[in-house]
Amino acid sequence: MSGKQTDPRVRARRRLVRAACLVVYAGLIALVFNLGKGHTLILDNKDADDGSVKALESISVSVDGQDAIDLSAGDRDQAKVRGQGHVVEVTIKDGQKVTNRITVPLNKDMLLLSLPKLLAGAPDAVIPFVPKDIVPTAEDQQGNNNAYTSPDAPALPGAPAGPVAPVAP
Amino acid sequence: MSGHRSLGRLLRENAVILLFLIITVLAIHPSGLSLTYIGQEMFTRLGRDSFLVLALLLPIYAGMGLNFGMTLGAMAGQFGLILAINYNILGVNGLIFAALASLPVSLVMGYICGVVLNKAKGREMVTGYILAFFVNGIYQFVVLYLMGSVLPMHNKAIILSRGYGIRNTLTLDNVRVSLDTLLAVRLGPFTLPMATYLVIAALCVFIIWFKKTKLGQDMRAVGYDMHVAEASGVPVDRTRIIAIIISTVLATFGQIIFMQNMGNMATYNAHDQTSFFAVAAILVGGASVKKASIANVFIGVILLHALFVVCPGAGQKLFGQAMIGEYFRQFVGFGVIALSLVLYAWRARRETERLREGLRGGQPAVAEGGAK
Repeated sequence: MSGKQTDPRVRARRRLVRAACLVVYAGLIALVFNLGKGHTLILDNKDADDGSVKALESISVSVDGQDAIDLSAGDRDQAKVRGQGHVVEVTIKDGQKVTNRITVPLNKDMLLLSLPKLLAGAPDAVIPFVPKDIVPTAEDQQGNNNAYTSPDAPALPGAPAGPVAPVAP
Repeated sequence: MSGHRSLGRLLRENAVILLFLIITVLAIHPSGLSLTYIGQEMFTRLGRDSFLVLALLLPIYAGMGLNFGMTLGAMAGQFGLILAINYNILGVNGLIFAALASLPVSLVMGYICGVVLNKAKGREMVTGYILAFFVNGIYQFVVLYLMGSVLPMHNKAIILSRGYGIRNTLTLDNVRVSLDTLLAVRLGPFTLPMATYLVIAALCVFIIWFKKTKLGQDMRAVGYDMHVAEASGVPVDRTRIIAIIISTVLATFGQIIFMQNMGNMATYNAHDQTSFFAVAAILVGGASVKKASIANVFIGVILLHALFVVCPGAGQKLFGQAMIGEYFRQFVGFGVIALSLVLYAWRARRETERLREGLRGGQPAVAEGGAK
């Protein structure tokens, strides 16, 4: 088998097919990642910090045809969405419907959508949202013990300092 | 006389199936479960497990016995699922992402497994079983120490509080029953996960087609007699490696399907019993170390899971403790593997005796060999 000389054209074709397979594989991963990436959209109906827009008294919001969420002035709620492009339908108190399209950045998991800004056509209606660090509750810590690790395993530099769960005897 | 003999032979050949059928039927009444409930469970579990069990077929065709090394594929699938959760990929896209992300890992794992099993011809099953323990150590090292430290993980919810390593239990909310509900069809009191069934049907078609290809024929030739196949110009080692690679990749996909149905994942031990239950299922279905078919897979999954469903209820009713039913599951799982292997060895010995008799002047018979 080792003594066999393969035709250079066959070798070239083989390489080409393998390269094409790799390209298709990478393309598929990128496509699935792009289409399936989940984001949490915080629907915010509050006054803008700079006072440029005011909260709406009572609105109903539906994202990508999901069940509508009712929001009063000062309310916040959230919607889970998939992919980058989304349709936001806002129904204002008098029954008037406003439909807007938004695009969310691929690498941000959580975004804040200011509905008053969206309706006012402000460009910064969608901004990344960083939740404050919350001390995990005991429930959050479930399945988080060191049963499979050395009890005195050192934490990495810069790792969040959370309460250490009891070590299994 | 010949009727008695053929009935005896039929009973002997289907001893495991009949044993399971009898135990299950007897346990249904004491379990107190309705037939509708048991039926629904069967439909769900058929979708959950069949893909994994089908992954065992090709190595059996190649004469490598029951591929206990499929655990390697299961670990690769879990690795892909962890990545899908880390990147927050939702629904069926999450499953496809997990499958694609774990594909290179399972290919490498399958190749390694194939090479190792080629070094241990005739002892593939026990070698695969031990190899799974070895690779489990590597998996634990990667998931417990490298993820979050060397491999960047940005989803803090799945990382241990110390800053690296994955939590012991992951909830797969992102992908939970996403394939099962993609095309769920209501049929009377039952809900059928048709998308999962279609994927399984596609695999069955693939296996049937594959058996007819040159490679599939080579595999069967290798499974029948390695030396004859080698003499006929079939690249035995390469064919065996390919069989194991395909089996490992299928086990990867099977584990992803299994996990999406379960909805949560025990990060460090979900894969431990993957091969054990898959092997038990195919043996219950009437397969042997040397011979198996697609029908064996489905019969086995239904029978084994029917017993699993009714056991806890029957244990509760008969002994006052549901846990006895749980222990019974383990007992039955290991028991059926042992029984099948013993029956197989017994049959092989009888075949050898028949062969000897043939050489002494009687009718010649073909002896069965196989992996240990």
